[in-house]
Amino acid sequence: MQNIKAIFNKSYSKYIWIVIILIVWEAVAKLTPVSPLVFPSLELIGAALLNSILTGDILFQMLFSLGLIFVGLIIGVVLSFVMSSLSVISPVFESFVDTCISIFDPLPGIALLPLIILWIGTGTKAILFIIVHSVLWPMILNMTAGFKSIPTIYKKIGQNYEFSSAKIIFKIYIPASLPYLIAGLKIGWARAWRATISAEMIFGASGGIGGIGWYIFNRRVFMDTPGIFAGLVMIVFAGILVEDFFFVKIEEKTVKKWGLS
Amino acid sequence: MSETIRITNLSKLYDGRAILKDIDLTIETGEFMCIIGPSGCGKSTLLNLIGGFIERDSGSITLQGQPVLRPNQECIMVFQEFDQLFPWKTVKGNVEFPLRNNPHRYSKERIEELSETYLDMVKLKDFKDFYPHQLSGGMKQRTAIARALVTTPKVLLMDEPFGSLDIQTKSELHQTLLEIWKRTRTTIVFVTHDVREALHLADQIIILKDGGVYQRIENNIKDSEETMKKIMGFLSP
Repeated sequence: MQNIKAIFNKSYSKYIWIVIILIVWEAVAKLTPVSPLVFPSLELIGAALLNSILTGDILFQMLFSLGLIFVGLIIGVVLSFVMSSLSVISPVFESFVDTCISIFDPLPGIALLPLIILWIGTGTKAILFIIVHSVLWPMILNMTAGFKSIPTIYKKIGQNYEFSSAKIIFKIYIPASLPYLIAGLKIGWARAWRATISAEMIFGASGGIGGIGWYIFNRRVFMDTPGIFAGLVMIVFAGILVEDFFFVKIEEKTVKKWGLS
Repeated sequence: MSETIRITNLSKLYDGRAILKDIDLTIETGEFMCIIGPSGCGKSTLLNLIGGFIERDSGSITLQGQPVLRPNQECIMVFQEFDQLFPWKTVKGNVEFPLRNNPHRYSKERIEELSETYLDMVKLKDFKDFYPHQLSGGMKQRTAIARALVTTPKVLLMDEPFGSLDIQTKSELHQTLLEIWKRTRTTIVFVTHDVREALHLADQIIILKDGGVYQRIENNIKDSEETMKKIMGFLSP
């Protein structure tokens, strides 16, 4: 019993569960009378994935989506940084930002689609707009919470050594609120994925090969269920990769090392 | 001796009520002054005014003849809170922090030299690569003292820095602080509510009561029971 507990306490416990889920999946697909069109076996999904990688555009479509998310996140981070910094400095701006958050945060990007098509069209710009919209508001909330959580003592120390405001922000405020900034970035990353996939499914591949959302949508049109799963596998794979090799590493080097988490 | 800080007619109001009224006080260079008094008597407020962290309502404060208008590098504050250290910096990183980002530039060699000197003074050389969360409360306060001294300020303002420590650690830190004071001759203004602490450390004790300087006591004989009794007499209502 102790040994089992020890195994699941490790960082790789996630992979053990994945293997278990895959085994159960395969058992259901093989041993029960479900149609492979509804519930394809792992070999079918694997074959579809391999086929898409070798003969299709899935990798490029994946990169295309990731590229959009990356650009969207950068714009989102910069905007939310500016807006939350300003709202920490000025109470007037803070009430403005609070109002914007009340209005826009509960508004799903998809609900804006008809308007966006009308105003911006259906290209990558429109997708980027939706990504930025879905990333911006939760990140502002996180950043402002982070800046507000900074002990007033830190500000006093910065003033005591006659630091400029820029130095206080970059040398004290940003590292001090890093746990919140990382949490905000995680939320942004997850939200950006959702926005990208839904927007791609609706806009299709206007001018280019489209993204992974368009790939999945296309598979559905051809009733290629293993192909749909292949697309999902790619997204899950990218998610785990970013979580385990990007966020975990950043946290190990920062908040974990500093004893803040 | 020359005077480092001169306070004249200083008053501070909170919600229309005077916390401090018409305070006159001079602090000589190299003096170790303890400010004691019942809680809520304005000890910390006075310290924050001297440091320029809060605005006064009337009167004046000068540091070596210059009026104090805002926080400045010549008057460094050490707080009671353990989280005054930056958790993202090691002990050494914390001590070097004021030097590295200083408007007056320090050379790499000078930073190294100064941080070594002050880490040695607070006896934390072996812990210089530790992060604050790995330190005990006493070590954190030692680090804070080293960080405060590293830019060689004229005045050290200490706001109950040992208030959250156990007796054993407290007396170790008292000893270190006295050693440092004898070596650097930095002017120290130390706020505490612990009369024995003041008797052990200070050479001047100020009793703050009813918003004013109630008594100024020359503490020539350290830890004297007689002075203790005298002070307790002043403090009882």
